[in-house]
Amino acid sequence: MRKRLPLLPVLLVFFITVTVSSIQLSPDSFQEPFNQANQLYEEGKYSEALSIYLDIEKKGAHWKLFYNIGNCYYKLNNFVRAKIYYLRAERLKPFEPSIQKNIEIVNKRFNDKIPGEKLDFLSRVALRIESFISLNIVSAVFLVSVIILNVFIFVLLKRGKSRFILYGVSFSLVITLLIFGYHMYRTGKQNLRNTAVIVKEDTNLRSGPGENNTILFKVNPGLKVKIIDQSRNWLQVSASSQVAGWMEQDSLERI
Amino acid sequence: MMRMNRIFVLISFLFLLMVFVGFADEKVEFKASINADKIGIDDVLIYTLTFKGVENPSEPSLSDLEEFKVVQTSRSTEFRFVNGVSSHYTNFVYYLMPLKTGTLTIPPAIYKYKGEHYETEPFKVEVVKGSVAPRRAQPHRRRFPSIFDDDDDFFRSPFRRTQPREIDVKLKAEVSKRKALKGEPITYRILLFTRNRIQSVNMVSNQSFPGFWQEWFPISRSIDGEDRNVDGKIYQVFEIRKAVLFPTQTGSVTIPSLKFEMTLVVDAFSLFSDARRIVRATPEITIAVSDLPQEALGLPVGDFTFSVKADKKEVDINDILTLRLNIRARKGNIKTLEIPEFVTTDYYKIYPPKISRDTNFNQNSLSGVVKAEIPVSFKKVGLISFPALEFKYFNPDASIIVTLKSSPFSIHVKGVKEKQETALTIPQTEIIKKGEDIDFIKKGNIYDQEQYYYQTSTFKIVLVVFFLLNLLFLLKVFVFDRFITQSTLLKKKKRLNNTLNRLKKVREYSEISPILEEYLKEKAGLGLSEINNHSIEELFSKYRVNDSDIKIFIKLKSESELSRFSPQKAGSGKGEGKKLRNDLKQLIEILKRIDSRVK
Repeated sequence: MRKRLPLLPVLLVFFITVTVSSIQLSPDSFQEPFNQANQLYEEGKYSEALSIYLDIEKKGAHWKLFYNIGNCYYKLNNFVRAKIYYLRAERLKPFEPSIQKNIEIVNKRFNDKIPGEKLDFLSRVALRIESFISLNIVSAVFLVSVIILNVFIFVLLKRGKSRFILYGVSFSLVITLLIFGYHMYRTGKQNLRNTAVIVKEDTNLRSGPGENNTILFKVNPGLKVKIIDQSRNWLQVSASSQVAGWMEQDSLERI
Repeated sequence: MMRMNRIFVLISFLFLLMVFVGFADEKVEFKASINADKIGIDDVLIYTLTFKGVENPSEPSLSDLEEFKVVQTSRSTEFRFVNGVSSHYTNFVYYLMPLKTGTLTIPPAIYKYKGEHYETEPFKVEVVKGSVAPRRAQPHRRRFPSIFDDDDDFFRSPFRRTQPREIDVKLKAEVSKRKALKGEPITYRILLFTRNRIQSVNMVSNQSFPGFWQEWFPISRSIDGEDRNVDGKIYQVFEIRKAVLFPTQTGSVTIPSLKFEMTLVVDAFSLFSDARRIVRATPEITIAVSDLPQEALGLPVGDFTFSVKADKKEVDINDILTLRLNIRARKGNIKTLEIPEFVTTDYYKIYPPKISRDTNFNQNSLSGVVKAEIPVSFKKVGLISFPALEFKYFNPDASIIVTLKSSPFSIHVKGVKEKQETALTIPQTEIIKKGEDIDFIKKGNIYDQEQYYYQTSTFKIVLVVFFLLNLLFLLKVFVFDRFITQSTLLKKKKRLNNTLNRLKKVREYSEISPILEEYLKEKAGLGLSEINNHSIEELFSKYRVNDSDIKIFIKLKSESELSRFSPQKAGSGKGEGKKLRNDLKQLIEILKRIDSRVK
C-alpha cells in the first residue's frame, strides 16, 4: 500500500517556516549612521551626533539609540530632553544600570524633588520578566503554541482518542490560553503610554480640566508624571500620591 | 325552564319595586365633613360634601373658598340598604391645599334643590408650618421614582395619580449663604422640582466653578425626594447635586448655570411607557466674597482641632520615631491646609512627612482630617524635648482667630549612635559631585525594538489561518460527522464509492465476489446465505435493471467465485490481466447503473 503525504502537517511546516522567516528582524539600514554618530560623539561633536541619532529615530527605536540621544542632550545642557530620552530608553530596557545612573544624575538638575511612586513586589517581578522576555518572543511563543495545539487537534481527529493525544490537547490548550493572556497584557501595556515628562516652564496643575479651575501646584520641566485621564486637550496627571492635577496636553511630552 | 324564568322575573320585579319604594320615602340631606381640623401647610385637607336623596346632583360651587386652593375633585355615588330601606348617596370629595398658615375657615357650602335651600356647616382648620401628617414609613419621602417602580403607594393621593399633561419640571439652586469670607465653606444644593415622573437626570455642564474650590458630594444610587407645596401645586423635590464651595477670590463671584438633561416618563400608565428628554438649567448665583481680616490673611477658614502625638516615649538613638500630627476639620477645606512643621535641631532631625487627607461627606456638611506622619531621627541621647506646635485658623462664625497649641512632650533617647546621619536632602550646589558624569554612550548593533511581530500582517494571517483550521475541525466533528455523514443520501453515495474504490484496487478475480456480496448485503439488506444468482436476478428485475447488466453482474460474480476455488484458472498471464481490467471497468459502469436503480 502506498502512503500519501498528510496535507495538514505539510501545511503546518510551511506556515511555521514562512512565519519565522518573515518575522525575523532584518538588519536595518541604520547601523552605519549609528556607528558614525557614535564616532562624532566621541570626538565631542554632540550636535552633529545628535542630528544623526534623531534621523535614525525616525526609522526605528532602540534603547541604545535613545540612551545616546539622552547623552547628547545632557552634554548640550538640555536636561529635560535628556531625561525624556533616558526614560524612553528605560521603557525599552528596564533595570539597565547605565540608564538608571544617568536618570539619577539628570534628576539632580531639576528643582522638583518629588519622589516617584515605588513599585510593589509583583510589579517589579513583572517588569523583570518583561526585561528578559521581549514582546516579540512572547508573540513567537504564542504562535508556536497555537500551531502545536492545532497539530494535536489534527492528530486527535485523524487517529482518534488516546490518552497521550488527549493530554496533549488539554495541556497545549491551557498553555496557549495562558500565553494568549500574557500576550494581551503585554500588547495592552505596549499601547498604553501613560508616562510623560513636563516640558513647559511654570506649568500649573489645576483642580479640573480648564483654565478656570484652581491652581493646586506649580511644577517645573523635567518632572516625570503619570497620565491618569484625559478631557479634550487637558490631561489629569499625578507625580506622586500627594501631587496630582489637570494640565494642558502641550505642557508635557509622552515617553 | 319556564318556571325558572318566571322566578327570575319575579325577583327582579320585587327588587326594582323595593328600590323605587325606598327612593320614594327618602329625605334630602346635604352634609359636609373634613378629615382633620389641624394640618400642615404641606398637607392636603380632604373636604367631602355628601348628598342624600338627590338624584344626580350638580357639583356644588366652592367660590367662597378663599384660603384654600382646590387641587383635585372627585365624585362618587353609592346605595346603602338599612333595614330594607335604600338610600342614594352622592359624594363630592375636594382635596384642598392651604394657602397660608393660621386658623383658616371653610365657609358653608350652599345648594338649591327643588326650590329648597340647603347649607352645610362651616369648618375652622388650624394650619401650621410643615406637615402634621403621620409619617407612616415616611409617606412624603420617596425614592426617585423609576419607570420600573411597582410602587402603588407613590400614587396614593388622587392628584398624584394624574400626571399633568404639560411638563412641569424646574431646577433651583440654593446656597447656604450669599455673603461669605474667602475660604469659608458654602453649601451649594441643586434641587429638582417635578410634577412629572423622571427616569434619569444627567448633568451635561462641566461642574467647574471659577473662583471656588469645590468639593462635590458623591452621588447616591437612589435619591430621596419630598413633597413640597409651591404656589398651590404639589411638587416632588429631589436634591440632585450638592457641593461645598470655598471661595478662592474676593468680590462678586458667580456660580455659573449648570445644565441637566432629564428623561421623563411621559405616560406612566401605558404598557409601553414613552420617555422624553428635556433640558433644564440652574440659575446663576452670585456670592459676595470679602477678604479675611488683615490679621487673618493666609489662615485656613473653618473650625478645626489639632493634636500631635509620638508613637513611643522611649527610643533607641538608631531608631526612627514617628510623630503623628492630626488636624480635624469640623468645617473647612482640608485639601489646601498647610500643616505646621517641626524644625530640625542639634538634637533631632525632622524628615519630610507623609501626609494623607481624608474627606467625610456628612448629611449636611463636609468634614475631614489631615494626618501627617513625621519621621524623626535623633542625634543625641538623653531626654529630648519637642516644643509645642501652633496651628492658627480663622473661625468665620465667631469672626475670631483661633490659636491651637499642641502639648510639648519629651522622648527618652538611649543607646549609642552607630553611624553618622546621611542627609536625605542635599543643597542644590552640592548635588553634582565633582567629576560625576553620565555613563558613556552605548555602541554595538541596534535594530528596531518597536517593530513587533504581532503587528505584522503575516502574524495576523497565520493566526487567522489556524483559527479557521480550528473552526473547520470543530465543524467536522460537530456538524459534518454528526449530521451530514448520517444522512441517507451521503450514506448511499459513500457505500457506492467504497465499493467502486475497492473494485479499482482489485488485482485478482477472486477479490471481486466478496466486494459484491458486501455491497448487496449493505444495499439490499440481504444475508450472506441469501445471496445467490437467483435472488440477485429477482432483486435487480424488481427494480427494472437492464437484463444484460444483470447477466454480466452474475457472470462476473460467478467467475470470481470460481477463481476463489481454483486460483490457477484465472488471474495468471498478461492476457488475463488485461481481461480483468476490462471486466472491472465494465463492472464498475454496471454497478453505477444498478445503484441508481435499486432503492
